Amino acid sequence: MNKDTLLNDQHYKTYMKKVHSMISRLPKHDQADIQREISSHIYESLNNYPDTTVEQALENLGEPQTYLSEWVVTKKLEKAVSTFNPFRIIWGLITGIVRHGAYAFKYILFGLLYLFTFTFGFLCIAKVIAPSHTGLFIYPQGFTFGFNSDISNAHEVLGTKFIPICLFITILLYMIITVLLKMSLSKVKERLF
Amino acid sequence: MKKGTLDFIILLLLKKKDQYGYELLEHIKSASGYDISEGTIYPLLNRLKDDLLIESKWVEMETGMPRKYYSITSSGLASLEKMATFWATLSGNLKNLI
Repeated sequence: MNKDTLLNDQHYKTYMKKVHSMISRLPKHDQADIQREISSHIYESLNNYPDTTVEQALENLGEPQTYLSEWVVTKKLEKAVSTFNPFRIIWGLITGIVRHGAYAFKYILFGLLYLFTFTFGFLCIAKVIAPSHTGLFIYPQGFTFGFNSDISNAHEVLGTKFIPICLFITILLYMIITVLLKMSLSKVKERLF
Repeated sequence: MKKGTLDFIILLLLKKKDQYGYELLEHIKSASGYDISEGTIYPLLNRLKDDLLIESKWVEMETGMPRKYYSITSSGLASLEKMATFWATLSGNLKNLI
């Protein structure tokens, strides 16, 4: 089969549409590379076994969902983690939870760890909005860290230092969790592929 | 198939010569006797590439579509050496057991 016949084949076009929808959120360069490689594979498959139909060649290759889904999720998360961009990481984790059946639990766990981290960031804002109710409060029977509506009998000890301390904790936790996520992705890739 | 077997086979095949995806797949099938799902080879090749064990380049063909050729890197060769030692030990031990 020649290249033009394949490129105009309806089954091929439908298959490549599915591939495109799977990889559409990856960088343009990666998208082009994957599409080119899959097309090349189908073409070689048809020319090595001339009796094979396009449908059979596509069936042998497998549904894009089965072999691209998990790879796309890990690729996307890896890119996000390397940039340390919190929005991209959170979006990557959400995609992982939705699409990545086998490792959804792991991504939920990382999502919760990030949520815990961002709580310290939110406390900085709370300190600006309600300074007298936010901080490290010492009570006769113990202490509380964060936002507190009932501050009777409590003595706040950090004052304005509360914001830089919370920011430091946020950044430190964020870096540690992101490095852990990065390490975890390498393990996931080894297990999956 | 044991985890890491495909990595080992791919590196062994690429040590012999640079190969494109489909060619590699055909050789894997004949070397291992397993009928692996064709699509699964590409995420695997990408992982080996990310791990810097192999590299790739596109080669335009006079007729037909361009091919993406994979080749083994120096760290791929080093990794292959370790794998070969491991497999030789395992196979020796199993032989004794049988």
